[in-house]
Amino acid sequence: MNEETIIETHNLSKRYDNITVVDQLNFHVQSGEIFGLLGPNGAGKTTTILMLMGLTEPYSGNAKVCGYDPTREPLKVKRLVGYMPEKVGFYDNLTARENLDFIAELNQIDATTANQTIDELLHTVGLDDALDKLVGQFSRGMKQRLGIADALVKEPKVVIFDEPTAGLDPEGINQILDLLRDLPKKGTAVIMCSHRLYEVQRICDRVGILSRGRMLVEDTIEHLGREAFGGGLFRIEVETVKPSAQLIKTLGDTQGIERVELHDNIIIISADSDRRTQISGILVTNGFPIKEIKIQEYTLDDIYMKYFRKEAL
Amino acid sequence: MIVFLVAVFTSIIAYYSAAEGISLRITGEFIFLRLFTTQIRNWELGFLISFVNFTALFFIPLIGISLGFDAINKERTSGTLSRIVSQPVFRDTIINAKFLAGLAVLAVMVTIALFLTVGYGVGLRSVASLLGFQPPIAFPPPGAEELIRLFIYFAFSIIYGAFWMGLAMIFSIASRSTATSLLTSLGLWIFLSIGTVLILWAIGRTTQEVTTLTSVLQVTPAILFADATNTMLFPLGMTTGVFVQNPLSLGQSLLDIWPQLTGLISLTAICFAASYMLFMRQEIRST
Repeated sequence: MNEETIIETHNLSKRYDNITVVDQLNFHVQSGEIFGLLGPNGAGKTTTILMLMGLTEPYSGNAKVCGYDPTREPLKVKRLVGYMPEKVGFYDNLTARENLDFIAELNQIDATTANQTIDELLHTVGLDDALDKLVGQFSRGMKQRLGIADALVKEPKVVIFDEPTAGLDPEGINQILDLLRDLPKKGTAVIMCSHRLYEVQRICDRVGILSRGRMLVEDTIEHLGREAFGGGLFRIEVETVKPSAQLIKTLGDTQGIERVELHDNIIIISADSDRRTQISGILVTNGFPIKEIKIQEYTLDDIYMKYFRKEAL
Repeated sequence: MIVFLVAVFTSIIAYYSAAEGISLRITGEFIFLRLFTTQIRNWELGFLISFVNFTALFFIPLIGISLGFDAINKERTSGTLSRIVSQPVFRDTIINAKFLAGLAVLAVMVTIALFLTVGYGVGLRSVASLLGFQPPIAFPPPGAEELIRLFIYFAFSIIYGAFWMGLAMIFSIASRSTATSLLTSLGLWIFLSIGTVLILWAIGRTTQEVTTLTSVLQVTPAILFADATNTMLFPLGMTTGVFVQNPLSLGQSLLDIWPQLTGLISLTAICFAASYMLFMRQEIRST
């Protein structure tokens, strides 16, 4: 698949009554990738989306979505971008199919094509049985899945999901995430907003961390780990008895090990990969017993916390 | 459904009022239209409001408000609005659609109430005798001019209803809760319809002069509508200020209500324009 930039922003900003909500935002999304927009509540995620959809005007800067400026040509953008709002709602007195039919009609998709697409989509999201049931009888998880189908009815180039898993149980969350992960296979780019790290970590190719309207970092999760800690992606803790300074030095000189710290009897090593075999070898040849050895991959959680601690300072 | 019952109720009131009223006073011309305008204000018989005044004060405002008060904020709270605005449709299409759909329902409701009353009228003689009234006069079928006057009345009611709907819609855009918008529109309705009528009545009892207050109150929509429609449907009596001996011709009646007509249309236009502007500028978030 050839990569093309679907969304890019240049110094996108938004202010409400002199309060800057989104500040000089620059990021881009390629086709066929899942981009995670991560940030705590009130970081400006939803406002950013609204600007991308042309639902609110930026204070300064601009955005390009599929080559169109959402402020100037909102209809063209809306034709190509699917959006599932955080609190998605349907007409309770219509069936699932009627709800989607209505959206297809607003997008001027002819009835035969629309019917086919809707059948397929409802099958994908696992709502075949509920096709002709009133949405009023749907559970929260079903509505959320219908929301995904709803965003996809117009066969968009990019879909934006704003907190798609809000208020769902773990099983529901898994279903939603699995659905989202499969979307790029059909050539649709996905932007997912969330404040839950593990969700973003599970499915996103690249992540942008947003805080107080500013993009702190934008990169792949792997790179983020390196950047944030100035060290490796892996953190190995070794517990031994009375480690000597010489041992620390030897460990530090070993190839692949980027930093060694000592806390009492625990040596904390950050390494670029799983170096447990080498480390235990060094300890044993130098005559130090190994009481415990633990390895930990940096999660987005650590990265996140790290950035927010920095932010707070 | 409830609105439909109100329509039936309206026509029943009109029927009783007219039936009793007509049996008391028999006049020569436009008897069919008297069905809509006759009311009873008599201590012995009690008070019964005429069809025209009932629709002006209660029926049409209530339908208008019930159609408009949750037009936008219900969609907003249920989360459907943010889905709709992210589709490739102009935002004014949404509000125009709301308005036109409301007008269509309004037209149907007014038609029902009108037809029911007309139906009672046509069958008045037989029904009246069934109910124990003396059939007052030979009740002629409605003439062409009467029908035209009724149609003008119908068109006028739609504009009047659109005013209330537009007013309620402003509140439904401005306020996020349906309860607030309902209470605000109902409050304004009570003030603008019943309140002003009571004030005018009180002023009329104490002084005979036309004060500034009365002239201001004259432009409230309910009064405008009631004046205009009474003139239109009851060309024999008090027109908008002057008592006439001979029935006014259709053209003269129209000329007479021209200020009321333009006043009401402009009030409606103001309401719609205000809700339109509010909605176009509003940011729609899902939360």
